[in-house]
Amino acid sequence: MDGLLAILFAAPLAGGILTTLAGHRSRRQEALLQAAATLASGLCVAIMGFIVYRRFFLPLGAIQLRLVWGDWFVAEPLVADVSLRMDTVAGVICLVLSSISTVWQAYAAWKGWDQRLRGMISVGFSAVLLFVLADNLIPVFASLVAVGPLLAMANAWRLKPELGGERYLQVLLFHGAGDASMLVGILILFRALGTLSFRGMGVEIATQSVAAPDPTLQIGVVLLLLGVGIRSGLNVPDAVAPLFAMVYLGWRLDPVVRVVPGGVLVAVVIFTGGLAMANLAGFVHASDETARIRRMMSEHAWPFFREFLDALIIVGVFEGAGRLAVGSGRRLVMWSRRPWGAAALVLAAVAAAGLIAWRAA
Amino acid sequence: MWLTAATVAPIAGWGLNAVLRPLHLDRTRTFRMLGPLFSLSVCLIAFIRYAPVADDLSSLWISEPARTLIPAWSVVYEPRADGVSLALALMLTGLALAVASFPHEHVRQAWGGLSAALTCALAALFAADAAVFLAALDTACACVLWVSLRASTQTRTAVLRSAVYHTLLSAPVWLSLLGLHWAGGGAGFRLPELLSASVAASPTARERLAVAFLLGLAMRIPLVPFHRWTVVLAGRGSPIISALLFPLTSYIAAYGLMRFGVTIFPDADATLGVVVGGLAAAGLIHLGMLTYTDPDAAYLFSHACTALCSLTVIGLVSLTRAGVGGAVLLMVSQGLVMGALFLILAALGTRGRWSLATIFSGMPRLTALAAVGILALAGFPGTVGFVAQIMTLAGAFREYPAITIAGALGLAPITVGLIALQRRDTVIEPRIDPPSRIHKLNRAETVPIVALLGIVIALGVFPRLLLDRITPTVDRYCEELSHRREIARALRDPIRAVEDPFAAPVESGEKEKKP
Repeated sequence: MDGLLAILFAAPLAGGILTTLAGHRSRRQEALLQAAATLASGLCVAIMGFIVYRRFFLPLGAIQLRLVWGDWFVAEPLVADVSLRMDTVAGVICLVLSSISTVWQAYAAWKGWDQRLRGMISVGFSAVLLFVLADNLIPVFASLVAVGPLLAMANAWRLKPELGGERYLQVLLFHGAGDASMLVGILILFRALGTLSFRGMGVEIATQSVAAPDPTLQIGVVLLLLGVGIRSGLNVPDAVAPLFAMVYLGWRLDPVVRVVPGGVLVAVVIFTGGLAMANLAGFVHASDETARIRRMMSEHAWPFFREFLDALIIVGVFEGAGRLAVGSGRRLVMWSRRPWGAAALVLAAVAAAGLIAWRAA
Repeated sequence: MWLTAATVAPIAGWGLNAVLRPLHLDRTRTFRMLGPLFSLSVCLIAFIRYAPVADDLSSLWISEPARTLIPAWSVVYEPRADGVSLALALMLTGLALAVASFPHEHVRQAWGGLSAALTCALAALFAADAAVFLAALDTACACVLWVSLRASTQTRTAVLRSAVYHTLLSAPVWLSLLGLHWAGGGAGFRLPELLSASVAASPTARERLAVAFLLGLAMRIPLVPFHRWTVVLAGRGSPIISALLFPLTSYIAAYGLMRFGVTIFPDADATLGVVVGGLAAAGLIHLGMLTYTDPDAAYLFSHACTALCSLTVIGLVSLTRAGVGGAVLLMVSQGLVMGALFLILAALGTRGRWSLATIFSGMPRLTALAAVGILALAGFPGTVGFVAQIMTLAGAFREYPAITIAGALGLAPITVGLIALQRRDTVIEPRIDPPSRIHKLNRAETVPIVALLGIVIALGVFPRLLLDRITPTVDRYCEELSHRREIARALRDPIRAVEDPFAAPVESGEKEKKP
């Protein structure tokens, strides 16, 4: 069953590369690629659903699946091993990511968007999966470096009228600064701890003195958090996947973050600061569809429900699913505006949470 | 005799073609490719069969009998190859094969000089004698400058300036080498003789010789403030020559810094780390900013590659396994990627002055290849550049953290400038009279570029294909250096060696105080 992790990561990567390189040559080929990309995303959802169903009885944080691929490169004492690790929290995140990706792929097929754009997003999704599943900071950093340019290029391609060239460059520049900060933090951590695997870092930190922590290590952790905060906050619009992945990374880095006094608070401040900077600088610039839906919600939906949906950006997902299911997303959104529609959504969310809690117990 | 045959094969192929041309029996492209193909085959077989059985740095897997070139000066030609030199030779010959097979007018015009430069570069890589290495390096640089001068009138001033730079920078290196040779009693220019002469010299003299040798060689890599010549030559000259410019000149100089410079002067920590490393970090930041702001694609690529040469130097001066191994990997990576990108520019140069938007819409295959090449140059994960940069920075950080942090910050604008290329109003300058409409890439143009980028991606996913072969050489190199450094320090300061903190000075002091 551990081999499913390889399929989960490889399917969108292979599909994305094939779609990007093949481009659009003939209508038949384009239709085949559309169907293949959507099926690949659906396959990921099915795999995740199967894993979560079979292994969700494990305690929170316990390992569900593990796949060890070996060393990517070795230069003693630097060892970059590529092993994938899925625990219960990562399983839920991967399920959410796979679902969003499937809905997005289907929606893109419905709208007839460029194949290369869909391929790029698919490769980006694969990178985010690696980000969540990797057990070593080097693949985590690699996937983060890959996600930024992929999503930025794809969104700039799609949002040309809204996202001007200058803003695109500014986003990339901040991404570069975030990457540099993360890289320096990783180098400091490697020098202080001698390892970059999550398990090894936890062991090394546990042996260190709590009363007199290493100041160099603290600086490295702060720089790492700063880089993560910049990358998670200053993102191009509709980039939901990195957001979820960043939250999970924060949870995985908990032993490392605690080296800094009040490290969790520092992380939250940096993350919130990044989001605030993004909004102030005008980086968070929504697409046409999401902006329209947000306007509708601000006019009609209940305030607290609007904030809830807006925070989760579920409306964008419902927009695509609604268009596919009933042929008109507007009908579904208007349905959700009615009290009984909103109540049905709340009940569905409560039922899902109860089911998860029952399985976990 | 295989190393010698591989060394002379490129110029022999060109010579054979020149002989057959009056007889109308020449197949220009075929004979152009034969020489590099033969060299590539020999190097590849040697690289695959290379086994880490070396007992010390001078005992390598492939070596040939020595031949005395200049008896009066004890100059000996003794080809030797290790994992690092074979890796660089593979990159060089593979790139030369790609350029030789490329259908471009400048290839035919410049191949005589380029094949001579390639032969000299291979001779430098396989040389066990420092004098032969320097002579081969200088000759390779001279050949490249000569073909640049002939290829384009726009580069005349840049070529003349580069010739002055090379002369000025070569002089202290030769003087330092001759000084060591004289101090050693004329024993020769091989590593054991030079190291003995270096250790026997006074500390002051050794330090001055080290400064002259190391700085003179490092500046040719190039480092600031002598970096402009590569940028202008690569940016303004023919893309065909630019594709081979860095591997034929800069990377050979970097190999010499590692093979001869640091080995002969093992205790030159201050010179290496502070001066050379600091200049490399400053160059990385300066050139990174220029990469971000430059609108011309050729200049942008040359700025980026020159900046990454500085990162190579940072890795080499760290003298750690990860740093040196990463620097070697970076040279291989950048050589292949720059070759592919400049071949793309050469293909575009034959098609007229078009905006990037027109190129992207009319030439999808080239667009995809250019995107892959640009991401590879930026160190995108999945390419060998990412692995090389991580290894270099991680290794250098252990010895020189401040310099490494400055280098890491300098990489950010390079990445941004390269990735944002598609958003700029960049225009590719034509080199030949433009046609009326844009033509797509043909097979002869596509195959070399795809081959080069395919190797970059393959090594990015499976870097151990290369690392497993070069790591033994790098390990031996670092071990030998640390051992020789200790010897040199002990000889330099014998009093300090006696006053070891782990000795018992307290007991001796108490004994002295007793009546």
